[in-house]
Amino acid sequence: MSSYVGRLTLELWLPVVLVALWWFASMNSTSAFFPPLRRIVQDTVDVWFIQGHISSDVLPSLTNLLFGYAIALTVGVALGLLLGLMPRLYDALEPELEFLRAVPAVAILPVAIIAIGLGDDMRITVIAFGSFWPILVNTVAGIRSTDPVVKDVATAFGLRPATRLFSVRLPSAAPQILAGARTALSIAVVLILVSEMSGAFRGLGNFVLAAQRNFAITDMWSGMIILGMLGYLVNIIFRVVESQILRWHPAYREGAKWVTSQ
Amino acid sequence: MGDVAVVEASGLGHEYSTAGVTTRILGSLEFIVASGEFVCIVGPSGVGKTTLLRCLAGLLRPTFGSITVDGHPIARGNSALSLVFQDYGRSLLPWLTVLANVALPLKGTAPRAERRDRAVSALHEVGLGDVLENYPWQLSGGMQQRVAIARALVVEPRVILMDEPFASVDAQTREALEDLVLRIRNHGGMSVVLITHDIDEAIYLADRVIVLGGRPAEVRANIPIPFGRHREQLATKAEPEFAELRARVHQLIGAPDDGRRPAADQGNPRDEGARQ
Ligand SMILES: Nc1ncnc2c1ncn2[C@@H]1O[C@H](COP(=O)(O)OP(=O)(O)O)[C@@H](O)[C@H]1O
Ligand SMILES: [Mg+2]
Repeated sequence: MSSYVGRLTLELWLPVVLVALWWFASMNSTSAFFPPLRRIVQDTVDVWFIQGHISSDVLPSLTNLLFGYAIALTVGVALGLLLGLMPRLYDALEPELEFLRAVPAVAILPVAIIAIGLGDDMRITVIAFGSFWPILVNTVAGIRSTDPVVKDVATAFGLRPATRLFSVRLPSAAPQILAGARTALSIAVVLILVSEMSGAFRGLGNFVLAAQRNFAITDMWSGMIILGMLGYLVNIIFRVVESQILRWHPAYREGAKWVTSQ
Repeated sequence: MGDVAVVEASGLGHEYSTAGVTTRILGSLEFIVASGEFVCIVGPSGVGKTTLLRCLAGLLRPTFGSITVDGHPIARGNSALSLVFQDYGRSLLPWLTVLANVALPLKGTAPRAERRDRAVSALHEVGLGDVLENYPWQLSGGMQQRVAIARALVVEPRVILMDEPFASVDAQTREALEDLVLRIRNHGGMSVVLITHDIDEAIYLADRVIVLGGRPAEVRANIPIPFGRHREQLATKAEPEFAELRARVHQLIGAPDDGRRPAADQGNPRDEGARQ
């Protein structure tokens, strides 16, 4: 319990200090671009919670995020498994993959608009494309780095292909897959904004961009705060899921009890 | 115990090729393992014991000769043979519980309830009936190696292969594990092929000790051990014959083998230079 409080303190002291600094430094600000934090907070509560932009703007963005991320995760892990198990195929495709990976997700926005249109499926595609790469690359690396002794175990005991895949290779790659999935999640949150740069008439990203265009600077700041909080929240959820999946991993073993007899 | 051969190796040889240099590690080995027999293979470090065991386990295809099990050529994942690795820390899967690790080889071959029952009884056999739901890394080294033995038992193999299985546990645990393996063999009637570089361990456990030596490795000697099935750490090792056997094996392993390295002389000049 006390270690939990300690960890929370460790995690929160810097944000608290920064927010306090921001609060006092901006207290008497008259700059149009840096309004007092107090006003931003009031505005945030007002716009998002009282006027209800949470449901009209955050919810659609969140839905796109979840669909896009889910697609990236599914396709990334499936393809990563395949390419990880077929090193020659991966080596043959590597130049093309490296090229595609180097294309920033912002740059595929125009292509996606032409190919798919201006709807939510375009936005989901952009989010999926951008967050797909770290998952793919990490899955391949994770699958390729299975301990040779573990592979020998699978071979010596003649494990079936499905058992090999789901009980051996996939779990052994899980730490790396999850590291990629975490990077991908941060990218996906940023891509909410990018994907709503064109053709969106609602959504968190659209709100921030529209506010900026209309010089509603306080609104813009409030949208950024909501975006940051959303990112933080999904990250916390991710960490809980990750610690469950990896509870066997040395990094998560604390708190497990050891058997000391014999 | 019958004298029926379970494992038969004939003309078994292996060479590794690295960076264009081919080195013959195993010469041309001839040996059998009889049904229910406990065979220990000893030899100096680097002689090719692990290579031999990997060939037997189907993890490595020998370059020359053949190995048969019950008359059939060896195949990968043949459940007639099962393997206990030296490095329990790496050979048990840390994401699976003890029970799941032991049941793993049965996946896809038996219904769930049966897999569980068989795994539980294998774990009882090695004295680990009470840690089924723990993870292997929560256990001591000796207990982990018992889990690995249970996993080898669960497929009801004809032969259990072990590569220096007790090399990384403390002396006391080691003796307990040796007696456990003897008990399992006496109870289950399977053959055991155990590799060790510990001469005392080999003589204590084996019905027959095979001594490997030279490069390429050949069978230097095939020594029957006359202590019968019943062995006791103190009493058996105190037998006068035990000391004689130990001296004999010692001499065979330690025997200088200069002038008897044809392959090394022609095959790897760098090796030769290093020795001078
Ligand atoms: N995969 C490999 N490629 C090339 N040489 C190897 C390989 N594995 C083992 N060797 C060499 O073969 C020899 C025998 O190795 P090994 O079978 O592990 O011996 P032992 O188990 O008796 O110590 C050693 O000289 C080792 O360097
Ligand atoms: Mg070895």
